[in-house]
Amino acid sequence: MTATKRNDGLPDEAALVKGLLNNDQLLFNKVFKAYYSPMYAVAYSIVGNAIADEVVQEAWVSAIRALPKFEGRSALKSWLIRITANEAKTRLRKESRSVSLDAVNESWATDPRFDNKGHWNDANPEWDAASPDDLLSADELKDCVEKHMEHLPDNQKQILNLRDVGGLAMDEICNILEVSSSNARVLLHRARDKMQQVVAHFQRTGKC
Amino acid sequence: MLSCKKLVENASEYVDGDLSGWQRFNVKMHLFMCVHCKRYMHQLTQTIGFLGKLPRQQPSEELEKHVCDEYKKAMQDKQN
Repeated sequence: MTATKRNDGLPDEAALVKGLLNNDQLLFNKVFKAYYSPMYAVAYSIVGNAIADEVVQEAWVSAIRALPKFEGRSALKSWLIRITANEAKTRLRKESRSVSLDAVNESWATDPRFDNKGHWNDANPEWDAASPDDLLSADELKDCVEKHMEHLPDNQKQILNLRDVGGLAMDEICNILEVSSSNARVLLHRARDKMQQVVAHFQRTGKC
Repeated sequence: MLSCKKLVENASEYVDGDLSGWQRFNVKMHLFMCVHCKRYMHQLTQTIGFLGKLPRQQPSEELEKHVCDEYKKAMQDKQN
């Protein structure tokens, strides 16, 4: 494994695994906190928010049990994410629910933003906010975006959450959700495009 | 030439660096000439950055305690 600079404030992989195997409870607590958000994002994307925390808990119980067998072939974080995805899928099967991932059935064909030659109908006005941080300063916008994310089709919501909110790599996401990379890219872009429109509407009207 | 609509449909691939050299060149040419698409592309990038900065989900104290206790217990069992 190549050594990369970590940005999660944890020691390097080898020290991390060694510490966890040697009953370093402080370190365990740090790891739990650092990886909670991506593990939650994975659980949430597969089983929804009602039982996502239960899935994260079950994933940790499995991971703690399997830790002595962890061989370090992947990063600890990827390993934990895989365990979380497996727990979530098992849970989903038990409850015989399923989330459709394959339907990319919405069409761009009738996008009202464009005329029949594919030119913009109305110019999108410039935003006052100059950076993502400026956008973040408006609490109402945060709430608005979160609300609209909830209303995205399941498959778009999953991918947007894992990629742009959770920061997972695209190939990791394709493995977890068992979806082709081209399908994932289309779904991701649909979701992002909708979020851009939500922000644009907010910028234009000051309303959600 | 690439239409605005087509450009918008493939904007994420441009942002994520997934286009071939030729496709990328075409998008760049379009952006050079079209202020609306340039603005859209900028706003899309801002939106993606914004999503990445949304507050992270935090674990409940109850979950944290439960999982950390689980770890403690497993380590004790190992030593015994």
